[in-house]
Amino acid sequence: MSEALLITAIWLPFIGFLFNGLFSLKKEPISQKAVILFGVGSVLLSFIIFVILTISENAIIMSKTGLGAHFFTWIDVGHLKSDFAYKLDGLSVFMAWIVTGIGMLIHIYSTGYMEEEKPHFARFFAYLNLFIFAMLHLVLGDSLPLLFLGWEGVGLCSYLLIGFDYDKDFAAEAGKKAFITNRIGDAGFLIGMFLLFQHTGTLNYDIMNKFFSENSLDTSLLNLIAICLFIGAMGKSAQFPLYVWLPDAMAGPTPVSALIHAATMVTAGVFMIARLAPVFLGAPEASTFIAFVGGFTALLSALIALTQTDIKKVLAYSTVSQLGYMFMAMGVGAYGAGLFHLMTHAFFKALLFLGSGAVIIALHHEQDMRRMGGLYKHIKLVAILFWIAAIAISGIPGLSGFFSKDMILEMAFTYKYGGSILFLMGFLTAILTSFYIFRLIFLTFHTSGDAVKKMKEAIHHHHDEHGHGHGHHETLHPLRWNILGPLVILGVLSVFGGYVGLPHVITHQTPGIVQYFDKVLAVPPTELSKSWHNHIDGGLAYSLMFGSILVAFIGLLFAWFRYEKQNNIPSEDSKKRSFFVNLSFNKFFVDEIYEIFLLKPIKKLAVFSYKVIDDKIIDAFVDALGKNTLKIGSVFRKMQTGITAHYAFYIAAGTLLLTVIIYGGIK
Amino acid sequence: MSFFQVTDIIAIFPHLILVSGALIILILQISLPRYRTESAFIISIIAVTISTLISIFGLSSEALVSIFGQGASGLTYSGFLIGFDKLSKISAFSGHTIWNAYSGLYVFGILSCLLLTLLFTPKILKDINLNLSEAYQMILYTGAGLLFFVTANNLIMIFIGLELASLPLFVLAAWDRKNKSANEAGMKYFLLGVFSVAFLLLGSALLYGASGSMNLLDINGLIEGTGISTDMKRLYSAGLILVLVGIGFKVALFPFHGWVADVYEGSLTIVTAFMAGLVKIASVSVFYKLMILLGKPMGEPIMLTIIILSVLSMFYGNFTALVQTNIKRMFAFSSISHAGYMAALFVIPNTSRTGYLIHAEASGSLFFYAWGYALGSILVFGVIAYLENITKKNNDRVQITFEDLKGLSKRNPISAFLLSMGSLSFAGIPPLVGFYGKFYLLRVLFKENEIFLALMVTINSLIGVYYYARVVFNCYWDFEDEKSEEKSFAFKSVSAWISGISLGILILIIGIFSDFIVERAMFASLNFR
Repeated sequence: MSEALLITAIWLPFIGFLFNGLFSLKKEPISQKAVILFGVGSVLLSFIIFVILTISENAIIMSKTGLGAHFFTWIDVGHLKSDFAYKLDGLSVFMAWIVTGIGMLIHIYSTGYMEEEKPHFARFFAYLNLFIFAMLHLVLGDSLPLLFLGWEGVGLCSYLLIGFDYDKDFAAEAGKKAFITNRIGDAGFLIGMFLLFQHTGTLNYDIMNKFFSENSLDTSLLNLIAICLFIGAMGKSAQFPLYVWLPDAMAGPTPVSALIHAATMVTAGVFMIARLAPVFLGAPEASTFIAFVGGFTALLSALIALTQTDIKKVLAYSTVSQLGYMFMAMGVGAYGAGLFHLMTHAFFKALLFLGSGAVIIALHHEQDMRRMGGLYKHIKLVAILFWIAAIAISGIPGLSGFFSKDMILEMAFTYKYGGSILFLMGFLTAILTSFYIFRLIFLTFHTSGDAVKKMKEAIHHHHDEHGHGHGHHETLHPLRWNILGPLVILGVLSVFGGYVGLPHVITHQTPGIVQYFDKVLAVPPTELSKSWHNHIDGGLAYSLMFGSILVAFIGLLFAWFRYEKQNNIPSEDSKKRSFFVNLSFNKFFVDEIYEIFLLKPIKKLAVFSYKVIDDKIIDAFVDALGKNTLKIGSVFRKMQTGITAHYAFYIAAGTLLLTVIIYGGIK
Repeated sequence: MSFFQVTDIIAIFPHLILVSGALIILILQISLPRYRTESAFIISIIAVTISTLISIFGLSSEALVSIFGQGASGLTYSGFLIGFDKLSKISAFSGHTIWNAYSGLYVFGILSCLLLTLLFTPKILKDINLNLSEAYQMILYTGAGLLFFVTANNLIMIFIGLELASLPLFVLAAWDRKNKSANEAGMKYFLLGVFSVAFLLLGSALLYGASGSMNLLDINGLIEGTGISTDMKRLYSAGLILVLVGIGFKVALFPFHGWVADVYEGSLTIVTAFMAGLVKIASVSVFYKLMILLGKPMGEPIMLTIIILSVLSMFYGNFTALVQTNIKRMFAFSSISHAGYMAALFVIPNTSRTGYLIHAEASGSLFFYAWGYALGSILVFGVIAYLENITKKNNDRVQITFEDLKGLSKRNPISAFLLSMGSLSFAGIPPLVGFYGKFYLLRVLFKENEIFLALMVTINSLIGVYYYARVVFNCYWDFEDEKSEEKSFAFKSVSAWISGISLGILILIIGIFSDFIVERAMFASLNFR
């Protein structure tokens, strides 16, 4: 019964996808109510089923193997067996709640956000449903092939949704960029998977865990596997150097950015590491590498976020930065902290994105913060929720982000192998985070500027240029309950979500969430990574905590001073900016560096292969082969004279020949 | 002791049903004053359907008792789906004819193909105003002859079966009597057929001289036992070679292929389907059986000759097919190359490196390949027959060329689809049946370490794709010379629709169940004796 329920919960979004997908092909858009019924209803139902399952099957789910459900056999070749079989255990139930829960909220939000996109309404929900379906396979599959299927599935959906406005060049380009960058990571992931299969003989988690509990592989081999798998995570979870696609992915509709590019898909890499804990915990050098890549990514993208003026770009770089934190945590073996931050980040970042979406929709698709300001007067609720999310992400105590970030910083500080450098990077990032997020708030909601006035000016400007205009853009677009409702729920979660992981210094015991993951993961990470950490006493822990609280307030004050007090709205003229600001504004020229050092040589090689190797050598060879084959054909054809006597002669001659051969051979 | 025994009748039960059908048609035609040709078709369909069903589901001992009385108690007639696992065997007419699982396999193959071809026939015959009852009698006789051919256990029975199948086919080849090329085809087929059968007969005589028996199992027993004495070996070899030439002619192996292109092209296309589908599947079965039972004393040299025949057939068929412009001729030459592929498996009985099981596997793949090929041929030639009907000018049959196919997908989408599907199946494109046929064939060759042959098969498959793809290409993409004809649907007859659609479905799905079929065929092949 519960197996059937689990399978139903996973496949429900697929039904939504089929319904909306098929009807999106019709020329006449179908009624939005029907789309909502299937699109939102399927995800809602799926979420409810997960809630029911969690309650009724709690004991089984919390056991090491979890609740298994076999749907059908997929691949059965030689030693490789892979089924559509699912595994609902402590880790995957945690992810399933986030995916379907936040997914459901964002589906509801989308019904408001996409309202005006009438011809594409069904298509949008079809993609979103397919995404949930794929994501559930990623987290609930009981083997790596199924994870990879989901991994590629969410990649596909991400591509489709980034390029949702496919008639706009930048959206199509961004979709392509995301897809190709992810494929580079996937190559690493596949190699890692192959190596695992080669050395453990299985890709099923349970069998693999059993293998690791009985045998141990060479550490250098495990390091190699872990790095290969992490390359896959670099692509999917936007880590340096493969993070470049995520900021561009903001070309997609804002609910997509919230769901896929903040809350769920991009955390797949973190999930994967937790899922393969026996591999990564057995690979200390690779883990150090992961921690440093995470720390560096966090710092770099926080620096870029400082000067961005597009509201969604700031949030995108912030996402990359926060993902860096998560990988830092995973790298130092603090799996509980990393997954904790994954959850709190899902809450507040989804809230930030949805809030920014509300701002964007209220301003009739204006995304540039320089043309905002003073919105607090007009949309108070959104502004308050935005403040909550900002306090949460900046690490001001009491809200969710504080607990998870503080836990990560503490674990980084005690890390034996370069912990102080890691801590420094994390600490600097914390200041920057606080600064850029409050900069965003002040520029959008406060300052002396008035977004509504600016909007009207822009329209008048438009009038002057073209002599006609759209009068109905004079006021803010109204926000209805289906936009505000999900925001409020996420706001509540952002406030209270952190209390599952109260720090050690307060409760004098291991944080609840860390205990939880030590219990449900295949191997207890805290125990296995104990030797990676120095002991830390209460006083130092307190001072660390106060340090990070202090920097959060410093960032807040600095942002207030610069943007509210001095009313220093970023200039559009690059000459007025300092060198460092330009460097950050232009994203450290990473895209340009890739263009010069990677893309150009590759393109040259491609042209060379096409013009010289293919055209001159291979084609010529193949053409000659074909032509000569045809020539042989026309020679053979001459045997077919049409004269019966000739045919009889062939038979006789053939018989003679065969007899000669046989007689020659017989002893 | 009576003249006939019940076992005799049971062993040839499907054959008898076909012959009885033909005789009933004959009697009705003479005796009924208001006799109509349609009833000939209906009677033949009934006869073929019943015997096909028997070949699929078999007859349990209860059923046999209720038909034949107590004399049949304890006997069963196994069908393809039921009873192959019992390895039963019914020997009849003092060992002249034997029903065993191996021959039962091909009985099933032949009858299923016969049924599907027969469904195509009436409309074609009507359109040339030659829808005579005799045609159906000929078809039924051909079918019965082929069944005798594959169940034969005696060189004389092989000859009789072959003749019973061939003589009506000679008539059918020239059925379109007002057409010059059909007359030519009939004549050529007759002359060369008789010529090659002479080889078969002479070979049988020599084999008899060398071994003192006409019975295949007796000869096999002699080989396995005392062996052929050294001075008789030359005589024996000459005999076997001549017999194989006679059957190789029907298989259409190079260099006994001369008739294929001309006869396939000239005959009524639906008759071509008979020749390409049914005759080929029956004759490869007998060829293989002879190799298994009689080939051993020849050892290495016979393997060499088979390899030569196989490789030359592949290359000759493919190279010549490349330059054809006429679709029917193209498929005729391609049938030579397919004969070559199947002949590659004929070496397996003599390699015997891995023992008995590999023979069964080779034989299983041979059946699967031949059956898949036969289904494909029937589909392709059936569709071509109907296309000819549409394009015919002044009531004269015209040959379809590649040019004529251009834009077919627009004018006649269903024909274009079915033709392309048959063509792609021949080319070995998954998931169609032809792909699985090649897959099993290559698997056996690799297992048996016949790398050279496997390589040749692969290279030739590659060449073949060119002209098979040309069919698809012309149907679907080459619209330069678009013809402004109105849309039409190929089959203007219900029975042809049934056959066309079921062939399409079979070709599409058999591959998925290939494991099941090949396993049954393998199992059946454990039972040659």
